[in-house]
Amino acid sequence: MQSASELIDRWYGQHAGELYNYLAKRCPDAATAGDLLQETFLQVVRQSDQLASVTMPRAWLFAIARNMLARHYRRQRDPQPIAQLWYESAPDPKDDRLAAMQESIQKLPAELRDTLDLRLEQELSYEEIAHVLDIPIGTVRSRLHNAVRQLRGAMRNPEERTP
Amino acid sequence: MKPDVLERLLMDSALGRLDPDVEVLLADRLAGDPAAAAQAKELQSVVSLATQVIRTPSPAVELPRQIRPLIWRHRAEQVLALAASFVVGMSVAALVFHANFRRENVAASSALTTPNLLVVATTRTALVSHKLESLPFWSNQRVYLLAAATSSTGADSKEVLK
Repeated sequence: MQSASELIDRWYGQHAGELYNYLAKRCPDAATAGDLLQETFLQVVRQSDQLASVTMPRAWLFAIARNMLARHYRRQRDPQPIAQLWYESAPDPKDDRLAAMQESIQKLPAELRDTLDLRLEQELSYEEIAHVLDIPIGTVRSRLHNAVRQLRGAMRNPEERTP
Repeated sequence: MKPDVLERLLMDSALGRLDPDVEVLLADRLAGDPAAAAQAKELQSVVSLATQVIRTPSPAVELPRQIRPLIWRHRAEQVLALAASFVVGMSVAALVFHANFRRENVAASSALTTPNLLVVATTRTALVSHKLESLPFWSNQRVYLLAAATSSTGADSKEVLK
């Protein structure tokens, strides 16, 4: 049986990179993302007595990272939704269809965008997303379906994208 | 199959979250339904495009390979917290002890100052007057005793002299 510190070491090796990417896209600079990653794992160390009961480590880590991010913006007194920042700062793609899709994604409601992002970028399962966002799986599925439906509508009718 | 159920299955399939068994059944269904197959293709295309947009590369960073320093930091935090609690506890105990000690001292000294000092002074005056009476009037000892009593107790000695 692995000790808590070995388990944390293993999780760090497996997930630190993707957690960092997740945080880096939502932070104004790399240093803040690094700090938040450290805070995330410090939180894991603090809860090391509960590690045995963690059934979905990846989702659990993402949930902690997301909470750290939310806390960071609360401290900054910035009510920015978590999924907002990096879409705003992302460079415009050269391809027209990609540019149109980026615009459509930016217009999605924050909760749909956040859910879609966890599925498409982080490739979390529905169960894992439900765990991260603390919502039922049915809500995850309906949010994802709504998001895809809205994106399809926007791509079919370009005038829907214009403000 | 109802159109809304089919659409949900197509969505899940496009999002990559359909069970393999159901996927096979859906593929069979789509083979005989060109309209549904076109819908499936469109959804796949939308999800694929969205994935390309969402998966923009983030800045590459060299992350530390080990997390040991963090674990040590946490342990150091715990030790510091314990040490701080100990120091605070000891300080509070010392303050309480000091306050009690002072209170006792004040009580003891006040007991000495007011009524006890009166008793001491009265006793002393009585002793001096008794001694004076027992000595010859012009003796040196009597004069010294009188002088000493006058310089130390003032008013009490004056009482004795009277």
